[in-house]
Amino acid sequence: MQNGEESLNGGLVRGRRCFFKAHLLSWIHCIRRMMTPFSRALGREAFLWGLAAILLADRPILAQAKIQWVYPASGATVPLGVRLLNWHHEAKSHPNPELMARLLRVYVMERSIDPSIDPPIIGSYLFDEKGILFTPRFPFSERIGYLAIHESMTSTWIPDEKESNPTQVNQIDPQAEVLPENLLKFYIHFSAPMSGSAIYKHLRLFNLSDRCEVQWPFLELGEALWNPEMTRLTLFMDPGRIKTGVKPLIEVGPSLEAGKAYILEVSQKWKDATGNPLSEPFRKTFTVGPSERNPINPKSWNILPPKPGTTQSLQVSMNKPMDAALAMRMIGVIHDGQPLEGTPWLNDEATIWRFEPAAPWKEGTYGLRVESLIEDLAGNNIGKTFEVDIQETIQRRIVNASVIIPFSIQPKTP
Amino acid sequence: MRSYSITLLWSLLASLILIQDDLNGSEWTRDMQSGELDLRSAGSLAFGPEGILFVADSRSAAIHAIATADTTPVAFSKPLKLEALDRQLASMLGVPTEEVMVHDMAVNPISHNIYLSLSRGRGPQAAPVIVMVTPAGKISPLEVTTLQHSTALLPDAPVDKEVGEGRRRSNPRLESITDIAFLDGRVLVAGLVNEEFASTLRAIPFPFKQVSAGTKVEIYHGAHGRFETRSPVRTFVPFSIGDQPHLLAAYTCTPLVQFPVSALQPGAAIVGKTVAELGNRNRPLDMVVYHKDEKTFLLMANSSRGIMKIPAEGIEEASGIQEAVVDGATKGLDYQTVESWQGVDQLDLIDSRHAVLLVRADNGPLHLESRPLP
Repeated sequence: MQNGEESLNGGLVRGRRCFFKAHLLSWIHCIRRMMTPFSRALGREAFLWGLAAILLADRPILAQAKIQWVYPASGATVPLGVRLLNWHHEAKSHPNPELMARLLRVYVMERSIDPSIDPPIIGSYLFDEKGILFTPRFPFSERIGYLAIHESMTSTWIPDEKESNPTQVNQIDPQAEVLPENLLKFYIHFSAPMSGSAIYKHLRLFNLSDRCEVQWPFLELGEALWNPEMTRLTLFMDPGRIKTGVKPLIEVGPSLEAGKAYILEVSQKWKDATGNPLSEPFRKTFTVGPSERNPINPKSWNILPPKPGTTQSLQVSMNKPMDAALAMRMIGVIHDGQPLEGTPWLNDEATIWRFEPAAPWKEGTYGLRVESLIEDLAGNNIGKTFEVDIQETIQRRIVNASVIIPFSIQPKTP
Repeated sequence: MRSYSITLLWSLLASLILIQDDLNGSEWTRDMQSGELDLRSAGSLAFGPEGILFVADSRSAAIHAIATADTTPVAFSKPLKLEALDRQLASMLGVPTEEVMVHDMAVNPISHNIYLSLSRGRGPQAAPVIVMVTPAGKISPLEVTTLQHSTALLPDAPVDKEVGEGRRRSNPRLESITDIAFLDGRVLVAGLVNEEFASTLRAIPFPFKQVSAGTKVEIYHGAHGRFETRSPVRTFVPFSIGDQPHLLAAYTCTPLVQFPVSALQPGAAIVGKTVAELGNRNRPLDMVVYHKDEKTFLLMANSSRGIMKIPAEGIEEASGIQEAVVDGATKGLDYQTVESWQGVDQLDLIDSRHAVLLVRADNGPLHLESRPLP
C-alpha cells in the first residue's frame, strides 16, 4: 500500500504520548503512593528499577515518527505530497507553518542542491490527526527524485526509469544546398519538444573553406523563438552582419561569404523536454551563393492548373526558394472571393508549392493569393527588398496586404 | 482650543487628500478582476503606478497587469547580495538548477522589492513563475490568482491559422516580446516574431480596454543615409529630451537610436535617429536612466563590453549617425565602460543611488546584488 495512511491511528498515539509527557511527575507520584507498600517491601532501589522497566515496556505505544509519500487516488506514480506521521505536538494549539516547515523539509535529489545550505521546496503545510502534510507549491516532477527530511530521518522518492525514444533533429530549413550570403534565418525541426535553456551554446557554425568556426553568427535572444510545441526553433542570423553599413558587418564581415562552404552543427548535448540529450549531433552542410536582393514577384511564378472535376493538386513553381514556414502559411487559393479548403504542400527546397483541394475543382476562375509579408531566404517581401535603397526608391511601408494571381480551371482543349 | 481646531482642520484636509488619492488610485484597478489568471509564460516585466506589475506573456500573445498590492514604502538601507540565486530558486521550486530560467527583473519603485520572471521546468510544459525578493533577501512566489489583474491581447496577435496535416496541424507562429515599459498611461511593447521579420512596436492604453487594441508602428533603421531596413527592438527605455518624452532603443542589429514618443501614431513608420553604433558582439541586454551629481546618465548592460555609462547630454545633442562607421570605437557617443561590472544580465534601479544587478560570470551561478550607481 503506497499511501497507507488509513492503516495507522495517529490521533490515538499522539494523545497517549501527550498525556504521558505532560503528566509524567504526577503520574510517578501517584504510582509511588500506590506502590508504597511494594516499595517498602522491595526497597527504594528495586522500586525505581521496576518503574524504569514499566516505562520501557510502555515504549511501543509511542510509535516512531514516519515519513510517507502521499499519492493521488488515481493511482498515478508521482506523489502529491509528503506526510510526517506519528509526530505529536506538545502545545494544545496546532503548530504554526514555520514550525512544520522546520520539522518536514523536502528537497530535490540533485547534485547542485545541498540540503545543508539550500532552501527546501516551497509549499503548504497542513496539520491534522494524521500528522503534518506537505503539498509542494508546484507539482513534483515525474522526472526528478525528491528527498524528505525529518530530524535525522530521511525518505526518498525516485521516479521509475522510463524508456523513451531519443529526440533527434529531423531537418533544418532551408534545405537547399546553396544558400544566399544574406540568408536571414534557419528553422531547426526536432522530433519531440526540446528544452529551451541556454540553447545557443549547442549551435555552432563552421566555415569549411577557411577551416574555422564563425564567431557570433546568430541573433541570440533571451527568449528564443520557438513554436508553441517547442519542436521548431527559429534561428535568425545576426542582422548586424547582414545589413549594409552597421558596425558588426564593417568590423567582422558577414557571417556567410559567397563561394564558401559551411556546416551548421546542432550539439548532441542539447537536452529535450524530458532532460535527455539528442540521439546524435546533426550537421547541415551547405555552400553560399551571392546575396539575394530582389523582391518577390508572384506574377512571375508558373501556375500549372489541374483538370476540373478532379482533386489533382494545383502546382505553383516559384522562381526562387521561399521561407518554408511563411510559404506554408501565406499562400492560398480563393474561389468566389472565399478561401478554398484544401491541403498545401511544399517541396524540400521550398520552390514548388502544391495545393490539393478538399472538393473537386470546378470549371472557372480561381485566384492564387499570396500575402505580401511572405519572405524569401533573405527576408525580401513582395515588392520590397529586405534592405531598401532609399536613394533609388521609397518603399518604407510594407502593409499586410495580399497579391492575387488569377488562374483558370478548364477542360483540356484537344 | 485654537490649536486643537487648527489640528482638526489639517487632519480633515489631509484625509480629503488621501481620499482623493485613493479615488485616483482606483482608476488603475477599477476594471481588474480577481481569480485565475491565464498566465502561460512570464517574460519581460515593468512596473506601472501603484505597484501594478506588467508581465509579458508571449505564449498567450498578451500583456497582463497585476495589482501586486505591494505599496508599502520601505527604504532601501542595506546592501543586498544573494549568492547563487538560480540554485536557491531551483531548490525552492523543486527542480534542478538548470531547469530554472530567469527571464527578466523589475524593481517596484514604491517598496523596492525586486520581481523576477522565471520558467520552472523544461519544454512547453515549463511553468511561469513570478517571485519577489525583498531588499533583505527574502524570496517568495507571487500568488497571482489572489491578486487583481487585467489582460490586453496584443493587436495583430498570431493569426489563428493552422498548417500541417492531421495531428501535426498547428499554428506555429509566436511572437516573442523582447521588452515592455509603462509610459504616460500606455504600455509600450517591442517584439520579434518566429517567422516573419517584423519590426513592430505597440502602444496599448492602460487601463486595458477591450475596444482599444492600441497603436502599432513599424521601426526602421537608416544606415548612412542610404539603406533602410526593418529593425526589431531588443530593449528600450523611456528617456526625456528637454521636456519631450522619447524612447531610447537598441536594435537587434546593435545601433542605439532615439525617437519621440509623439511619433507613436497609428500605422506610422518610424526611422530611429542613430545616436551610437555599438558594434559586433555587443548585444544590448538592459538599460536604465539615472541622475547623479545633477547629471543624467544611461547605463546599458550588454553581452561583451561590461556596463556602458553614457552621459545623457551626448544622447540629447547627438546629430544622428549618417555615414558608415569606419573606426574601431563605438561611434557616436562618448561613454565610459564600468569594467568592474562584468557579466551583468539584468539591471534596474533599486533607489536613486543604487542599482540591483543579476550577474552571471563565465557560465557560473547567477547572483543578485545591489551596487552603488557609478
